[in-house]
Amino acid sequence: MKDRTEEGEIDVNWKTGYHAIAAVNRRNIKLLLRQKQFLVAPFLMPVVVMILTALIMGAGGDDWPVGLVNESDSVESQAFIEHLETVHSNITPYFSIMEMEHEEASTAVKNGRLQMLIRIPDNFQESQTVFTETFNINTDMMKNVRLRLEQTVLNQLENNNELIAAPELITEKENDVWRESFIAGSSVLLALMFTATITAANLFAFDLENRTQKEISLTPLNNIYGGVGTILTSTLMAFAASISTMIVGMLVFRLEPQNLWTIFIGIIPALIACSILGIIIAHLLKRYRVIQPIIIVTFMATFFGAGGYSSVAGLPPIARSFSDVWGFSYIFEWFNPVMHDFSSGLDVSQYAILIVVACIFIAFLPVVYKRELMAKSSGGQ
Amino acid sequence: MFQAIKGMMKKDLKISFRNPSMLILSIIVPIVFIFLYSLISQLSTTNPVVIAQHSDDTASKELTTIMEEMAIEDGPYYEIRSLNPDEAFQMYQNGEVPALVEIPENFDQQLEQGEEAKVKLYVNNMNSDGTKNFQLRLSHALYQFQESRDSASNIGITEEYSTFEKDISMKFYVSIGLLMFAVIYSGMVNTGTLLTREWEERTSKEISLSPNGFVPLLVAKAATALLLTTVTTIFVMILMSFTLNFPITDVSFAIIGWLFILFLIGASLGAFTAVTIKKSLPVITLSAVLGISLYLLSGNESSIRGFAYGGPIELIWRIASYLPMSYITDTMRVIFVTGKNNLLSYTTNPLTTATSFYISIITIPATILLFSWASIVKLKNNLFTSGGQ
Repeated sequence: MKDRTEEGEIDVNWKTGYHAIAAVNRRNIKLLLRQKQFLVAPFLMPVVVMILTALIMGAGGDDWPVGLVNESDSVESQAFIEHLETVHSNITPYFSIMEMEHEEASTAVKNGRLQMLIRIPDNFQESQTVFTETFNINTDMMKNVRLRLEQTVLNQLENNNELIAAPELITEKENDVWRESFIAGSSVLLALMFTATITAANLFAFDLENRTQKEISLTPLNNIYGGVGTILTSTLMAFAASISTMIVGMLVFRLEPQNLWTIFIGIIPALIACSILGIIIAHLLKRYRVIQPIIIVTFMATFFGAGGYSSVAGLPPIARSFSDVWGFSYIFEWFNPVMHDFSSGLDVSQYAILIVVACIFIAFLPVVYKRELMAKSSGGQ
Repeated sequence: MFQAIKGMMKKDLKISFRNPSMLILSIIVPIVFIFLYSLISQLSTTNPVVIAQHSDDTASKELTTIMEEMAIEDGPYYEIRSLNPDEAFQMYQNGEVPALVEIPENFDQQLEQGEEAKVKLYVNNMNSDGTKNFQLRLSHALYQFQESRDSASNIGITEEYSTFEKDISMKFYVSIGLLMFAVIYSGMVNTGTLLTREWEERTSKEISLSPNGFVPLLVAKAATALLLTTVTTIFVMILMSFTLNFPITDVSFAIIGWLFILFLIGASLGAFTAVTIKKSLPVITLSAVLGISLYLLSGNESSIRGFAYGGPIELIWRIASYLPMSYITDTMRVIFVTGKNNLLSYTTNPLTTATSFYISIITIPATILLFSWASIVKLKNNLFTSGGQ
């Protein structure tokens, strides 16, 4: 590689380059450990998103708390209760009966502590009707609880040989991945992409704001070595942040990650691209107090809107169209099946795309550092 | 004092317009989050699916029509991407759709002969939520099919009471939570960075030595932040009126009043964070983390209340139920839904209980006063630790 000196260009052997990159990486790591504010977002944000999303949107299994009041002593009502208690999804029962006294259950519904009270009337045998009271706070909650009740009815009819058409479920794998485990897996991928981007951006902006770029530009080596060192640090930090997120996911949210080597090796081109993206953002926006919130919120929103919370194929049309052009969604789409063992690895074309994308970003790196050299950034020094 | 406030506001507004990066930031960040989050607001309602309808017989057509037409206020339950069996299986196998419903070839015949026909549901079960959602939607379709073909044997479900006349739309529910997030985040970031700027630009010493005390400083910063937050809030409301059908024309004085209270909470939190940390970077990061966390907690409190029994979810819900933002968010929802502006009593607000109403009466002013007072105390302490300035 050719590098600059005041006298002109000199040949730099690979050892010098290696030492320069290693030195920048070492300095970056020391800097991150000293400036702990840079570690807060990468290590905290994916874990916070995982915990809150998995608990609030995931909330364990599929068992929905309801009140059940039986006013009938018929065999039919007993059978119906049995079906209510046994109707289930692929992971857990659909209902959890919390209250059987009418007044208490009704009060709980009015206070929103239960979203449905199911009342089987004393004439159930003749009327073939059940009555409900609902806390209809939103259509999503109501869909969940009403449709569960209809599934119970279908089970009862099937048991009585009265059902004319029954559903039959055929799944890709025997066991479902729990919703909270899926969210935890996506959080690990989020930690990888997010940390690589934000760390690179912060390090680059820190050098700009603290005028270290000037010192780097005055070394006899090409300032791009600084960029390579930053990419290395960002990638290492991304692995560290993802491992800590993964441990929380494994301990709290039943995450059982598979094919980890395939994921960690396969994702390296994506992490290089993310790091360079961070450098480009920092180069354009300059100040880390501007960069930081934009990157945080964009990644958090990407998690929800482009494949982290639900696979892209299951998203609404506008979100699918957005995900088609939003590169980060492919990381969720390609690596989540590998993590949950729905696929043993990426196919050749996916690896090729990742490498091509990384190469495109790598091609931008000299442009960024050349522009930095040309920029008047001495800041009074 | 008024002159001091005016002078400080003038200076901050001038700086903000001369270097609008922070102003743009306080607008762009909530807009990006709200735009991307609103992309999935339809997720809970409409699921993409393919149907392999092998035959054009009456029963197949009838079931398909039910699946096409079943809907709630927020939209249809299914987005049917193909009815062609070959295309359907190909799309499912390629991973373009997460589920496939297969209606048997001789569906009509099976029904006529009294055989129990099986409608197959193929699902990629990498996320149990998807499996459950597709199962429940197919059950709904088959329940309706049963009702139309053999209502005599079906078990009817009659709703004898509901809190609201109509179910609250999920899009609307989400939009009010996001509005709360935007105001809190913007209030925190604007107030926080206006204050940290004084340390970062090395003017904190001059301010500390001002004979007017610290109250004008905090009031001026909060007033400037209020102007900037108002701009953000208007942008957010316009965006949500397109993406989430936010009822922008129904914004009443009562709503503006609650938004102002939310701003005061955000501003006091931002001021306290700023005078404690004195650096804008962690203040901004913390505002984003806190804003998103508050959206997830307080923005969904009334929703998670019904299934928070045992384990960490109950703890999360209990924390959320004590946060003043939860009460305010739900009160704004009730104002929009019922059109009643006078909700200063728990009996007229179906989303709150007597306990949470009285707790909120205490926690709302307490949060604002406590953090503002703590900010002044911190500022006074900083007088002796100006950090070399």
